[in-house]
Amino acid sequence: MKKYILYIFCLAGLWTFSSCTDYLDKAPSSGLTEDEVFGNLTNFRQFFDGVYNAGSNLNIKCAYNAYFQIWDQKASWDCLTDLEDQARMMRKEEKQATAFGQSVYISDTSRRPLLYAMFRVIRRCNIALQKVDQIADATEADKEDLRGQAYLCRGFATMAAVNVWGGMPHIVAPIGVDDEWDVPRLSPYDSYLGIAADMDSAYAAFQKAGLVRRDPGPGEVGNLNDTYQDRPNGVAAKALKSRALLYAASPLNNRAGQAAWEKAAEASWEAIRIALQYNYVLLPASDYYQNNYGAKYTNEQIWAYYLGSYAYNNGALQGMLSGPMAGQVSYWAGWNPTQNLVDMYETKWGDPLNTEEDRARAAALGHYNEQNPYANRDPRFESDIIYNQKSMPWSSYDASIGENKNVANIFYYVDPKTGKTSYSSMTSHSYVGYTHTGYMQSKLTGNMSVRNKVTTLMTSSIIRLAELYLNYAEAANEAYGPNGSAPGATLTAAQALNVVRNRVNMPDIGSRYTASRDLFRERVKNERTVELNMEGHRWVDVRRWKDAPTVYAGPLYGMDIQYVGKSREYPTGFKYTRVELEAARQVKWKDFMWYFPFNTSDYYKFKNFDTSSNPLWQ
Amino acid sequence: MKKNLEIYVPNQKHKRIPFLNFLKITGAAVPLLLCFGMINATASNISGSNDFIVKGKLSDSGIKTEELKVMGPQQRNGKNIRGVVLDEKGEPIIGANILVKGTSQGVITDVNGKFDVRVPSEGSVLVISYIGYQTVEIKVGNRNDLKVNLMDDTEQLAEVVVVGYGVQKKESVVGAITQVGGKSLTETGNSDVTGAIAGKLSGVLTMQTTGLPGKTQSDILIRGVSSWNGSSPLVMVDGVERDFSDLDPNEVNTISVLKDASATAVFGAKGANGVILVTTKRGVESKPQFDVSASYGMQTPTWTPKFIDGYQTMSMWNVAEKNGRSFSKVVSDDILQEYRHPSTRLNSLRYPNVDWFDLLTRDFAPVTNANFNLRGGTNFVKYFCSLGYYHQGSIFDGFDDGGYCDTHYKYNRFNYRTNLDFNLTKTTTLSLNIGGDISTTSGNSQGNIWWYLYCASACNYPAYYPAWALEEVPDTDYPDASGKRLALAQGEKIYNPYSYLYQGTFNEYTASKLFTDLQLSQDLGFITKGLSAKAKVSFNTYYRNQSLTASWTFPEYTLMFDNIGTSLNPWVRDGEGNETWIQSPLDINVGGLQGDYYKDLYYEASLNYDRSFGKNSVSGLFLFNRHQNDPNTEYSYYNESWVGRATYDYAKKYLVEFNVGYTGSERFAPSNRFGFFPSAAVGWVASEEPFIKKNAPWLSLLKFRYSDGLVGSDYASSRWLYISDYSTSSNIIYEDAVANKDAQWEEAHKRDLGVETGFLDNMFTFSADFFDEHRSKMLLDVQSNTFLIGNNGFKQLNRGKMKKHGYELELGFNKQTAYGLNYKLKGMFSFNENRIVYKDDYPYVPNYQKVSGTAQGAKTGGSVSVDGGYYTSVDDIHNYPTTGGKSLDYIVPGDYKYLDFTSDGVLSSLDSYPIKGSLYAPYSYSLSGEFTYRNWEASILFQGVQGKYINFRGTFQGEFNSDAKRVHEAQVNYWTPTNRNADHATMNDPEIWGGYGSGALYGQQWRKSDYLRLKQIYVGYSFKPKFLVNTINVSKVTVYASGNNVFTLTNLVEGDPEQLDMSTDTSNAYGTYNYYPLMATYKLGIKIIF
Repeated sequence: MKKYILYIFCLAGLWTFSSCTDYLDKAPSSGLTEDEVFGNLTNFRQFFDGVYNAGSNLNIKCAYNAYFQIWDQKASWDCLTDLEDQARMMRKEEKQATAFGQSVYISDTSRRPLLYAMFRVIRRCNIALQKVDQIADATEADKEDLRGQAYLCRGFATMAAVNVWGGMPHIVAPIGVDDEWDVPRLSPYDSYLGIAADMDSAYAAFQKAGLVRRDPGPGEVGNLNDTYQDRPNGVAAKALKSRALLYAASPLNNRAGQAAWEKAAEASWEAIRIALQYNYVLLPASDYYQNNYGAKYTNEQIWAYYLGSYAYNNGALQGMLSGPMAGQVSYWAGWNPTQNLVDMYETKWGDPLNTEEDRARAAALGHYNEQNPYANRDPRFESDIIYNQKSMPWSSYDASIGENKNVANIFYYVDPKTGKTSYSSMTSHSYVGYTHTGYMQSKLTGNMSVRNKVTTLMTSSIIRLAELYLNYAEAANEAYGPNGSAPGATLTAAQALNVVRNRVNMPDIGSRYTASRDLFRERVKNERTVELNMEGHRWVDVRRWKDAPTVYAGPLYGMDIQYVGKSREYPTGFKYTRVELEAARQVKWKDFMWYFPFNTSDYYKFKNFDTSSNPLWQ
Repeated sequence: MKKNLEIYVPNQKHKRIPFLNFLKITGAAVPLLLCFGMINATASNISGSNDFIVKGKLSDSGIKTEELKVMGPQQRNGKNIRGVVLDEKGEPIIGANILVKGTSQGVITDVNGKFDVRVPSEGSVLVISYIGYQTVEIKVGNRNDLKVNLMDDTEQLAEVVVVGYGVQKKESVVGAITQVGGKSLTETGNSDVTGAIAGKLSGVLTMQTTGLPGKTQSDILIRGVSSWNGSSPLVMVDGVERDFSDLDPNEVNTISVLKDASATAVFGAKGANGVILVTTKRGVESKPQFDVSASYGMQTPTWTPKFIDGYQTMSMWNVAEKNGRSFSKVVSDDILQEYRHPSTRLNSLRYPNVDWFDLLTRDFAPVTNANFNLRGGTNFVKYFCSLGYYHQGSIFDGFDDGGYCDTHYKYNRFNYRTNLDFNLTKTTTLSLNIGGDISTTSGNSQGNIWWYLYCASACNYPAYYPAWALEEVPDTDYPDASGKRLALAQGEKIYNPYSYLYQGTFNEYTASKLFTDLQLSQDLGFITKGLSAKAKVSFNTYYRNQSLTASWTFPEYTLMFDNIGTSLNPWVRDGEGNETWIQSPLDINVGGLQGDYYKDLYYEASLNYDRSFGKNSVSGLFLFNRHQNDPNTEYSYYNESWVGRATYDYAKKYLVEFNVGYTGSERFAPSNRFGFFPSAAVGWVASEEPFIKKNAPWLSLLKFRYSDGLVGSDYASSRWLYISDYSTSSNIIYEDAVANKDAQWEEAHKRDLGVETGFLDNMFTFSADFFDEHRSKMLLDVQSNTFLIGNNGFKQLNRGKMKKHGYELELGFNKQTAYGLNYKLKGMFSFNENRIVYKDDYPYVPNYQKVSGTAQGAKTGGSVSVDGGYYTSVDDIHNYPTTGGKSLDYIVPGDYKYLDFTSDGVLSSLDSYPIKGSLYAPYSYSLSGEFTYRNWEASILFQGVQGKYINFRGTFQGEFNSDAKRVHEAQVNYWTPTNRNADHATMNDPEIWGGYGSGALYGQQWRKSDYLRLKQIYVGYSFKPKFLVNTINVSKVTVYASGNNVFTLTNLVEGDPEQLDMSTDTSNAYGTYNYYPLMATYKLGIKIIF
C-alpha cells in the first residue's frame, strides 16, 4: 500500500512540475490587429462606421437635430429656448448646471454626451484620414468617399462643439498617448474657418469620388434610395460650409467685419447653386411636413437621418407628445410651444404679429382678431402646432363643458352656477403632463395620438435646402443689403427669402421690411425661426445674433383659454387671454450662458486650453 | 493539567510531582496511581490515617523501587464531603482530581465519578479538575453532598490554531491570528455564519447591508479598509477557497482569522486583505453521538420609518410651495383638514393618508432552524455527518393565489455534510468531505420593495380603491366591474408599492452548492522521522436556476374625482386605449440557468516536516497548488502557488518562522505573472524564562512577537489589462483602451507587533497588537486625460498607494467561583485608519480637493459642504456670498448656507472640500460575557463602532423627492422662524429647484452613525429528563432562548447604522434601492444529545 501511495505522489509531482509553464498562459485570442482593421475595405468601413453608429451614444448622432433615443435627447435644443415650454427640459438649461455637482449632461454616456462624442468622432475621422491609403482592396472612388466623409464629419463634429462651447483647436491628427493634450483653443471665428476648410476638402474628395450627390435626382430610378443615403455627400459639404461661414460672420463670432459676411454670402450662394445643379428642390407646401415625418427621405434634405418607423407610444416619442396625446399621463409635459413662438407665425397676408403694435396693425387691416387668433395664419402654423379647436377627428369630447367633436379641446370651463372649474380633456390638470401654454406641437409627429395610433416614419433633417436660402438671405443682407446680391448670384437677399415663403404659399415679404438692413434683418430672423422651428437651430441662432439677453429678458407667455359661449366679443365661444407662464417655467438670461460649461473635472486638467469663456453655471 | 498534588517523598523533602494518569481501582477502594516517573505503582493505606504509601519503580533509575507517601485528608478537624463529578452529558468522570485549596489534600474520583474527601472547615474550597475540562472551584459551605458538572474546556481546544495550510500549537504561533470555536457561533442565534462572527474576533468588522431572505451575508473587513480595489478577505473552507456564508453554523468547527504578513504570505497575491480559514467538524474516535436541535424564531426589523401622516405632510408641503413661490400648488386649509378628517368616504380616497409600512408589513417574519448531526468513529473510520434546515420568511405582505404565485419573500436552505477519515494503514489516512447546500430563494421579483415603501407618498394616492369605491362611482366603460382596484401612483415617479406586492410577479431560484474534497495523507516516517506528505483534490460547483417564475398583472386605475358627475368616465385605466381590457391568465414559466454559476477545480500536494530534537523543534512545509475557477465567462481563472514555510523554536521560548508564497495568475502581464511574497516572524515567550518564573510567578504568560513581510492582492476590475487591440461589436470596430503593459497585483507590506499576557494562572489575560501596512502598485483609473484625446482612455495602471495603521486590544477575565458560577468576560477594542498616499488626481485641482491625503471612505472633493448654519433673514441672503447670482432667486430664510471655503466671495465648486470622517469606522469594540451556573448557561455580546459616517442621501435627506408628497422623520424638525435650531432646513420642493436644493448638505448628507448593538443574548437550561433517558437514551436536553440585534443605540435619526449608504439612488449598490430591513431575531430552541 505504502509503495503505491509513494508512486502516486511521485507521478503527481512529475506532472505538476513539468507543466507549470503553460498553465497560466491563457489570454483571449487577440482581437484585430491594426493591419487587419485598415488593410481591407470591409474592416475599414466597420471602423469608420463608428463615426455614425458607435455605441454608448458616442457618435455623431448626438449632434443631429432630432435624434432621439433616450430621454434627454428627444428634448432637442429647441426645448432649451424661448420657443418651447417643456418644463423639465427648459429649466434644465439654467438649473441643471447650477448645483455644485455640475451637469451630467456633458459626459454621461447614458445622456447626450455631445462634447465627448464629438471628439470621439474627430479622432475616428483623423485615424481614417491617416490610414485610408492602407486599404488594399478599395477603388480610388471608395477611398475618396471615405476621405470626403472623414473631412466632413470632422468639420461637422467640431462645429457642434464650437457652437455650444466656443472655439476649439482644429485637431487634424489623432492625439497619441504621449502627445500634449493640453492644447490652446482657437477663437470661434477661426474655428469656423477651419471647419469651412474641412468642408472644402470634403467637397473636393466627393467630387473625385463622383459623389456630389449619392442618389439619382428626382424622378429617376433609385432617387433617395442609395445604400449610403444617410451619409453626407458633396452638396452637404458645401451646405455645411455655408452654415459655418454664416456662424463665423455672426456678431458673436465675427472678427473680420463686412468681409466675413461677404464670404458667408458667397458660400451660401455656391451651396444653393450646387444643390440646384444636383436637383435638390423645395418641397411643395402639400409635402412640407415630409422633411420631418411621413417620408424616409426627401429631395429637399441635403443630409438627413432616417430614424425609423415610430408608433405613438414609443418611449422616445412620448417626450415630444404631451401627456394626453401620448397616453402617458403620469409625466410627460411634451413639447408645448409658447405664445412667443405662436406670435412669430404671420397672418397669411404676411402681417407680422410679434408685438402689440404689429397685432394692432394687422387687426386694423382685418387680418387678425385676438379673440379668434388662429384664423388666417401662415400655413406652417397649421402644420406645426396643435391649438384649441384645431381639427382632430379622433378626439373625445364632453359637450356639457363646451367641448366640440373632432377638434382639439384645449380650454377650461367655469360653471357659472357652482363656480367649479372643469378642464377639457386635453388640458386636464390631473395630468402632470398637461400643457401650460395652451399648445402642443405637430411639426415632428403629425397627427399621432393615443386616440390615433398611427405609426410614422421619422426623419431628422440635418441640413435642407430651405436653410441655404435663409443663410443666403441673412448673409447677403448684411453684406449687400436687402436688395443686394452676392457676386454671381441671381437672387437678392429679399428674393431668396421669398423663395422660402412662396413655397408655403406665403406672399412676398412686404416692401416696408426691405427698406433697410435692420428691418429686413428682423424678418429674416423671424422667417428662419418659423421655417426651422423645432429643428434645433434656435439655441445657436439666438446666441450668434447676440439676441439672447433680449430674447430671454422678456417673459414667456402662454394662452389662457376659457370656454364662455359664443358672443360678439368672443366669436369662437372662447376667451383668449395671454398670460405669463409661472415663474418656475420662465427662462432668465445670465451672462455665463453664452456657452455651456465643461464637466468640472475638465477645468482641472487644462492650463493652455483656456476655459475662461466657459464659466460654471452657478 | 497543571494541578499537582503534593506528594510526600521520603528522603527528598517535598517534591512536586504531577499526577498524570489514573489506571484502575483495586477492590480495596484504594486508588492505584501512576505517578510521574513511576511504573507499576501500587498504593496502600497507612493505617490510622488517610495517607497512602505509593510504591513503584522510578523509570529513570530503571530498577530501584521507591516509596512515596501521599498525604491523605486530615482527620482531626473538619468534615467529610461526598460528591460526584459528571461531564456535560451527565456521564461520570473517572479520575477527576479533587483538591482542597490551600492544602495538599486531594482525592480522585472512582469509577462512578464519586469521591469522598475530608475538608478542614466549611470555608474550605474544593478545586475540581480533569484534563479537557474547565477547572471548577466550589466553596463547601454547609453541604455534605456535592454534584459537580465539568464543562468542556474550549480554551483547551483553542490550544491548536488553524493557520494557512496547517495547524500550529497556540504557544508557538508568531503571526497575528484570532480564532473562534463553533459553539459560540451556534449560540448567536444567527443562521448566517458571516454575521455570527460579529464582535467575536478582534480586528474583524462585519457589516450587514440587507436582511433580504437568502441575502443576509455580511461584508467582512479585516483591520479596516486597505484598498479602493476591494478589501474583502480571502475565505477558505477546509483549506480551499470557498464561500462560507451559506454554511450551517452547526458544521463549523473553528473560524480562524489571519491578519498579518506572517500568517498570510503563504497566500501570496490573494492574502493582502487578510484570510479567513474555516474548518468543519470531523469525527472523533468514540461511540456515535447524535445531536438534534431545532429552533423557531420571530424576526422584526431593527428599524422601520416613523409614519408621518398626510396632514403633517401636506402642511409641510405648503411650507415648501410657499418657499418656492409656487402658490398654485399650495393646498387650502379646507383640503388640509380633509387629510385629517375626510368629510366623506370618497374623500378618504381623494385625500388619502396611507401608512405604507403598517399596511404592507407583517408583525413578524418567521425563522426556523433544525439540525441533526452524528459524530463518532472507530480506529478505522471517523465520521461527522450533518443535515441542517433553515427557513426565513417575509416581513412584507404579498400576493398568494394559493397555487403557483406567492410573492412573499422566502428562503429555504438544506445543508448537508459528510466528513470521513479512513485510516487505511497505520500511516495513511484518506479523508473525504462532501458538503453543500440546496436552497430556494423566492419572492416578489421587485427586489426593491422597501425602497418603494419608503419613497411612496402618504397622501398622493390611495394604496388601492376598495370595492365600495366602484359601487359608489361606477365605471361607465365596464358597468359590471366590481371589487377592489389597484391604484396608479398618480403624479409620482415611484410605483405604487401596494400594486407591486399584489401584482403577483414572482420568481423562485433554486441554487445548489457542492463542495467535494478528497485528501490522502501519508506519514513518511520510514524515510525520515517527522516527514509526511499530503495530496488533495477538490471540486466545487455552484448552480442557480430560475426554477419558477410567474406573473399575473392587474391593471391600475386612477379615479378622476373631477370627472364625477360629468359625462366622462371617472375611472381611467393606466395606458388606456380604446380596447376592451381582458384579464390575462397567470403566466408561469421556468427560467434557465443563471449566469453566476461556476465550476471550480483545485488540487494541491505538500510535504510536511515536524520534529523535535531535545529542546529544538523544527517544522517545514512545502506545498504546491493550482486552482481553476470556471465561471460563466469565456476564459477560466487560473492560479498557481508554490508555498514554503519553516519554523524553529528553542525550548518554547524563542520562536522563528519564515513563510514564502510564490503565486501566479493569468490576470497579469506575462512579465509579471508570478509574484514572490516572503515574510518572517520572531517570538519570545518571556514567561518561560526562569527569572520570570522565579520572580513573577503570577505572570503566567508573557509573549512578544513581531512579523514583517509582503502580501498581495490580485483583485482587478477587468481582466486582460495588458492587452490592447481592436475589437468588433455590432459590426463596428472599436479602438481599445490603452493597455497597461506591466499589469500586476497590488503589493502590501505589513508589519505587526504583538504582546500576549496572562496573569494569575491566566485568570486575567491581556493582549495587544500594533500594525501598519503600506500598499503600493494599486490599480487606479487614469483621471487626468481629457476629452480632446477622444480615445477610450487608459486601462487601469498600477500606480496607487495607500497606508494604514492601527491596534487591537483584547482583555479577558475568567473565573470559576466557589459557588459554582463560572464566567468569562471579554472586551475587545480595535482601531485602524488609512490614508491614500497616491491616486490619480486632476493635475490642476486645488490641493485640498485632491483625493491623495484623504482616507479611503472619506467624503472628499465633489461633496457639498455648509457651515452648518441657516440663512436667517432676507438680509442674510443678500449679504452672503452668492452662487454666480443665481441662488438669490430661490433661497429663502431657513435654507442651508454653503460654506465659502475659499473666502472668495462666491460659492462655487471650489468651495467643496473634504469633510472629516469615513464610511468605515476607525474604532470598533465588543463586550461579551459567558456564564454557567449549575444547569444554566448564558451569554451576552455587545458590539459597537465609533467614528462611522454614512451617506444619507436622496429621499432620506430631502423632502418631496421624485414628486412624492412624502416627508420623513429626518425632516420633521425643520427650520421655521420660531424654530431656528432645527435639525433640517426649511421645506423645499425639489421640482421647483430642479434638484435637491438645500437638502444636499453637510450634517444632512453625511451623518454620524456610531452605534452600540446588543448583538446576542442567550440563555440555556440543560437537564436530563428521566423518562427520556430510560426510553430513548437521551443524555442531555438543553432548552434555550436567544436574541440577536435586540437593540441598537445610535445617533442616526433614520436607517440602520450598519449601512454604508442610506440613499434612494437607484444606481448605488450600497444604497437602499435593494435594501431589506435588517432583522432582530428572537428564538426558542431545543437541543438534544443522544
